[in-house]
Formats: sequence, structure tokens, C-alpha cells
Amino acid sequence: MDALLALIDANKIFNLTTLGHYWEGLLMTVQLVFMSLLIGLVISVPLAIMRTSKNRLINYPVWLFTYVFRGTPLLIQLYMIYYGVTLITGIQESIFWVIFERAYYPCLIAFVLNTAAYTTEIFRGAIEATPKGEIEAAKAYGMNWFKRTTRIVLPSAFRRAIPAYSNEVIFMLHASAIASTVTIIDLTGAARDIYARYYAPFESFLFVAAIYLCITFTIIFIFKKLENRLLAHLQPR
Amino acid sequence: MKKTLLALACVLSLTAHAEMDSIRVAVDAPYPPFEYKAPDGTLTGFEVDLGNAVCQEITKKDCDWVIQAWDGIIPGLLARKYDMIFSSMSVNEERKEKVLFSKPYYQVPSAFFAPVKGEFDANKTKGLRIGAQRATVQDNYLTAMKKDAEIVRYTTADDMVIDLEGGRLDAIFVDAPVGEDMLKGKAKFAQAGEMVTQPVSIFGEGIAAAFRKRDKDLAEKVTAALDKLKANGTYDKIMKKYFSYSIKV
Repeated sequence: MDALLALIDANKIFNLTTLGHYWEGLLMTVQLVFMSLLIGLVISVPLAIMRTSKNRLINYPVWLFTYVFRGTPLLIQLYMIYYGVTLITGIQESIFWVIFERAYYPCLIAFVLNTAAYTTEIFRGAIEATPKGEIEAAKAYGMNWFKRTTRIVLPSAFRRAIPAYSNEVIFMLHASAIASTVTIIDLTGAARDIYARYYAPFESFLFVAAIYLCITFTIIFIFKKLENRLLAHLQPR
Repeated sequence: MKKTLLALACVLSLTAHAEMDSIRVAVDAPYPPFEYKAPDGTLTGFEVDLGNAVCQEITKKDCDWVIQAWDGIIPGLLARKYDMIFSSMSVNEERKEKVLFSKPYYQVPSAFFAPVKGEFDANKTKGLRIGAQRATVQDNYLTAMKKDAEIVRYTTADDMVIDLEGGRLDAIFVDAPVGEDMLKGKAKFAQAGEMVTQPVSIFGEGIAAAFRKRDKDLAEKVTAALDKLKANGTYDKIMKKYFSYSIKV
């Protein structure tokens, strides 16, 4: 115990200032990831329904969107949105500049589009996996398309999508580290600051790695509870 | 006849010896514009010219230049391979343990660069966004002196310039030569306000010549020679040859 206290006393890196910096980084990461997941989720539900449509005019644009955003690195998408927009002539004088002036919103937009693309495909898979019999039964009850979708297809599709979606949430958390490349001080950004200040890459990055691990375990725990509750009927007895 | 010549040569060399040996000086070249080889192979640059002027003051001869890689430059001095280091070495506490420094003879100044029409004023930075490279002296300066500004920290200077050009920053704060170089040909941006070299607690004391600790005599002579060159205009003449701004301290 004394040895441990001595170790804490001896370290020059983890003082109140740097811990505060990490804390602000943690808040930024959590906020950024939560907001992009929430908005991405809301966007992806109608997109997934459109994606399963038999009408090509509805289906193809969504296919193109998911193809492009799943087919290119998130870092490139962020650079395009953050640096790319500044090259549009007159953007600095337009009303949109309020959004693009700081790094936060371009970053949020990139994250939302990216996670929406992945989530759309996750939901599409879940929707298409709806057992034929359920839809036939709904039709036999005289439900129209809208009632079928909202009452039968979507509720069961959401449940089926949970395990795959929990992966997406964790990937999003890890992908959020690239926000630090465009001046946002998230967890990784804070670690970079502290690394550069104290020339201590090992300590500063190991510390954030531990924080990311803690968040990941929290996410896994929440989804485990959710699965136990919502997927109880699918579990082996 | 041969004997007379030999004797004469001996006498001449003795008198030359009595005057003073040329000073052996180490530089790590190339490090333009401070020291580099001209196309004809001669060593040249700001520190070479200034060093020669210093040597002329003390010994009436040019320095005897020794090219030495940076990582071995202090060990070489301590091993008496040369007597002085004149190679853009900034004064710091770690080096002071090993070597003796002259008075600083130059300092790379930092400067704000801002859009020309923005009327950026370094004294009124409240709420402004100023870019700096992470953990540089410029970052330290802004953190300590410009608490009312929003400091945006970058990993590379390139990213910072892109954001300045994109209109996301009101100004950037960098090494003046770096800023001049990066914004060359971009008429919309210019240096705003004076060069910054103070306070010493942040920017350091500057670049100085280094000696073995026991060579106090030589260090004092070099400091005196530098003072003289600064006073009589020789320093300025050499500086103008290589720089469009002042690096004098």
C-alpha cells in the first residue's frame, strides 16, 4: 500500500489539471458518440424500410448511400466534411458557416452519416429475416402495410437487431477517437495533449485505453441486460 | 640555404603560435540558413559568417570549422576535438550541467499570422480563436498569456494553416520563419503585430555558443566579441544577408 501511494506521489503526469483534462475529454467523447448514435438510429429506421422496398427508385438511393459510407474510411469522410466544405466559395459568409465553423458539428455530421449507413444495413437484415408466416398471418388479419410494419415487422426486427447493433455502438465509440484529428479534445485528444506536454506516450495513452475499456464494458453490460429482457423468447432453455 | 629556410620557418611558426591558434569550432551542417555547404563546397551560412567574425575579433583568423553530427556534438567538445560549439544550440538546464554557454547570440522569434483584412490585434484576443502547434513554446505562451482566447491545438502546422485559410481561426501563433514560409504567396494573410521573444521563462534564453566548463576565458572572449559585433553593425550586416527579419537578442 505504501509502495502504491509512493508511486502515485512520484508521478508527475496524473495531477488535478491533467485528470480534469481527461474528464473533459470523456464528456466530449460520450456526448459525441451518444448524439451520433441517437440521430443515426432515428435516420436509419426509415432508410432501412426504404432499403427493403421492392421499388428500385426508393431502394437504390439508399443502397448507394450505405454503399458509399460503408465503403470509405470514416477518417476520409470526416476530412471531406471538415476540410472540404471550406473550399466551397462563399461558405464563410453564408448562414451554414455557423455549423461548419467549429469542428464539433462537421464531426457529428460525419459520425451520424457513417453510423446511419451501418445501422440501416443492420436493420435491413433484421427486417428481411422476418418469418414469412408472421407477415402472412398479419395479412390474414386484414392489416394494411403500415399496420403490418409498425405492429409486426419492426418490433421483432428491432429485437433481432440488438446483438448486431451493440457491435455498432462499440465500433462507434472506438471510431470516435478520430475526432481528435480535427482539433476536438475528446478522450484521445486529451491523451495527445498530455502526451505532447510530458513526452509520456505510454502513460497517457494507456490511461485512455483503460477508460475506453470501462466504457466498452458498460455498453456490453447494458446490452446484455437489454438482450436478456427483450430476447428472452429466443434464448435456449 | 636549406637550414636558413628551416630556421626561418621555425621562427615564423613560433611567432604565429605566440599570436594565437585559430579556434576550432563545431557545427552540425547542413542546417540552412545557419550552416550549409555552398555549391562550390565551402561552408557558409549565418552562424559560419558570424563565427568567423567572432574568431577574427579574437585571433585575427577565421575559425577552424569541424563538422560534427548533432548527437555527438557535446561529447566531442568534452573530448577536446574542438573548443567551441556554434551550431544553433539553445540554452537549457540539462545542457548547462555539461557545458558553459556564452551570452545568447540569436533567438528564433514567434509571431502571430492573421488575415490581412481581419485587423487582428495581439493585445485584444478576448474570444478569438488562435491556433498553435501542440506543446510548442507558442502553445505554452498562449496558455499562459492569452487566457481569454480560445486556443486550438494542432498536431501539425499544415492542418493549422488549412484551418486558418478555411476561416476557422482568427490567427495562428508560430515560429516566425515557419509562418513566413508556409504563408508565402498567400497575399490574404500576413504577420500581425511584433515578433515575440519574451518572456525568457517560456521562450528560453536563446541560442548560444557552448564551451567546456573550464574554458571560462574563451567564453568571456567570445561573449565580448559578440557584444562588439552587435554594437558595431557587423552582426546586423551578416543577419540581413540571411534573414528578412531580426533574430538578434
